[in-house]
Amino acid sequence: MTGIDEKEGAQLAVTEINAHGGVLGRPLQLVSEDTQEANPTIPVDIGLAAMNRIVTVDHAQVIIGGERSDVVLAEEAQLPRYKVPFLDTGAADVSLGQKVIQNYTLYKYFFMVSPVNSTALATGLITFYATMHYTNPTLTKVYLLAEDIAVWHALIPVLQYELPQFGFTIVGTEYFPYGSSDFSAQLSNVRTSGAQIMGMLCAGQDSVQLIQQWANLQVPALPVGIDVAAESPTFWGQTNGAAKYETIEVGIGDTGTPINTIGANFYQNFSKYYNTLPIYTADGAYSAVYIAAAAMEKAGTTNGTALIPYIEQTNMTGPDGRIIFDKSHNVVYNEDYTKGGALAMVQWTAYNTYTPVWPQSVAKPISLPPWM
Amino acid sequence: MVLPEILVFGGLLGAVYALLSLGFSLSYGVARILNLAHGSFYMIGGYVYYVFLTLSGVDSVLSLVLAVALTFALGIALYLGLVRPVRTSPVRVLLITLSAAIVAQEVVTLIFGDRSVGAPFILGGISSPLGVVVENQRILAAVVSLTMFLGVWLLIRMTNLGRAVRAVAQDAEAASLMGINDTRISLVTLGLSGATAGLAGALLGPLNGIAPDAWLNATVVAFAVVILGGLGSIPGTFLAAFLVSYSQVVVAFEVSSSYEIIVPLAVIAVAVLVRPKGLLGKVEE
Repeated sequence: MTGIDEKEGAQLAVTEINAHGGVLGRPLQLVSEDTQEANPTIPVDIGLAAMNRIVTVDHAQVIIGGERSDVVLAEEAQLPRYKVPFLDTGAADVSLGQKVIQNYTLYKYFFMVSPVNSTALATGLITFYATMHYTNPTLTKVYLLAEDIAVWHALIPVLQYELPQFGFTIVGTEYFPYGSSDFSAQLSNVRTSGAQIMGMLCAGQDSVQLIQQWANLQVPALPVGIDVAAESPTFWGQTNGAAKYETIEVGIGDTGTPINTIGANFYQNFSKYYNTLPIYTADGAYSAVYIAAAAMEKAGTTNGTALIPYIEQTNMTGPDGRIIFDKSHNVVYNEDYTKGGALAMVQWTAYNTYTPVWPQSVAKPISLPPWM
Repeated sequence: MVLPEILVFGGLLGAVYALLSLGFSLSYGVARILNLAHGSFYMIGGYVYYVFLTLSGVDSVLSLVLAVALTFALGIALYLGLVRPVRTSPVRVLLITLSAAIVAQEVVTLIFGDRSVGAPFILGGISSPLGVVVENQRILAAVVSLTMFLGVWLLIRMTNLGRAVRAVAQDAEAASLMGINDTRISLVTLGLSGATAGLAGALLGPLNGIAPDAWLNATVVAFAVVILGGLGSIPGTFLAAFLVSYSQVVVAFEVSSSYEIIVPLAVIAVAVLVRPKGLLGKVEE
């Protein structure tokens, strides 16, 4: 369900697996339903209806997908009814998976394959901020600007608590409606607050307008944070180049330089088939199909409940590093990608190009806009 | 209180709201057509401008003219094709125009996808009125909007066509008896309605991006302005546009931008309950 990138990543994996004989002697088949989660006006029940169709009409034995945490939370609540494993490859709210701990028997079907959860995303961001402060000690004032959605409400308090401990001052925090198109008020607040960093958290396409307005108004605060739309190679074109200097968190496999052979093959094949580079949801969906296939082979069946212990035992390498699940069925985060899902920060520098600025092992210096 | 920001942003936004809502006021006040597809003209105007300027390389001024011309024609087509056959039933007009808006959204999504698109600015750079940094494009949008608003107002006040429009607005039956062709006036009104909303979309599109679902917010804003200002009252529309824009900006700066979108909805509710004829309306509806 959801996201053209997820569908394409999953399809690539299905094609590869079927080229090697499929699973249990049969080819895998991919069916898809569009939940339209990227559209902020679309309500949650569209996602639930899509899930219902996938299970009852298409008879899916494993569900892969998810983007908006509010939709995936609602879908997770339906899993006891369907008893089908759901491998989330887009939503990151840490509360996803809490039901697994609270009531394992009913909710064991949920797994967060990608990205790492919001707590881990915050950890990665905070580590980067600390590094940035160390190398640029004059950058201290941060204005936090986030979409008014569940996952950022979980992450903002973590940033508000942790960043001051690394020498930063939070000069403002503001939420804006998901899907906003005019950021005059928000950017004016960023400017008047004296912020040097605009700590942005965006999961939707609204960041296209935000970044364009930021550049047009020459707001003297570097945009740093999580911006899903900005991970796409098309973001530069969408913003008419205004994306230059935006610094975003990505999976370590998404910096443009693959970290392992699996990642290299994935990127090469994805580019060959689809004529574009993948974003994190494609990596996640690709890995999720392999996880499901491996579980089916080991279990000797496609029955959803029987697959659970084998999915739990997953210990494989994906384009973003090692995939191991914790007790809440969230992928484990680790700064070392050989031990867990790892993160990086990249800065947009040119058309189709972003440059890693963290971790230190691959980092280039951060650039500031000419008006800063 | 960030007074300069509120004054500047509220004023610039109000000017575009006035243009966006003018057509809605005319179509309901004159032709008695509650057109829920009004925001679609705004959306389509933005896309037409984008297509001609960005994809076809047409000059920006000509692209604006084409956006206005096309949405004028669409307004007429909407009336002739969908509204006129059901005109005697206000409920059916509501339903058919709402359906048209949803269909327009789906068609645009099929062609362009659901992501917003944005054309380059006509006027680049920034200025600082009252010390508030704003894009020159935003100032241009406000100036053009006010100019168009004034132009349409003068058309209504000073020309024979305008006199005919006002006559139909006052009493359609009497106007018909005086030889004024009600259908022709409705066509002109819907055409103007489309053109003014389309121009608003073309002007704001480069600033805010334009997406297939942009029609919904545009329709809600226009509805709120017209209800508050008074159905069929052009001065009322002008006044109400700025009241709504300033209310939104005050809420955005002083409370939270998350509540900004509630303002026009609250305006509709309060106006209908407290003063249904609006601030300067002539008709009790």
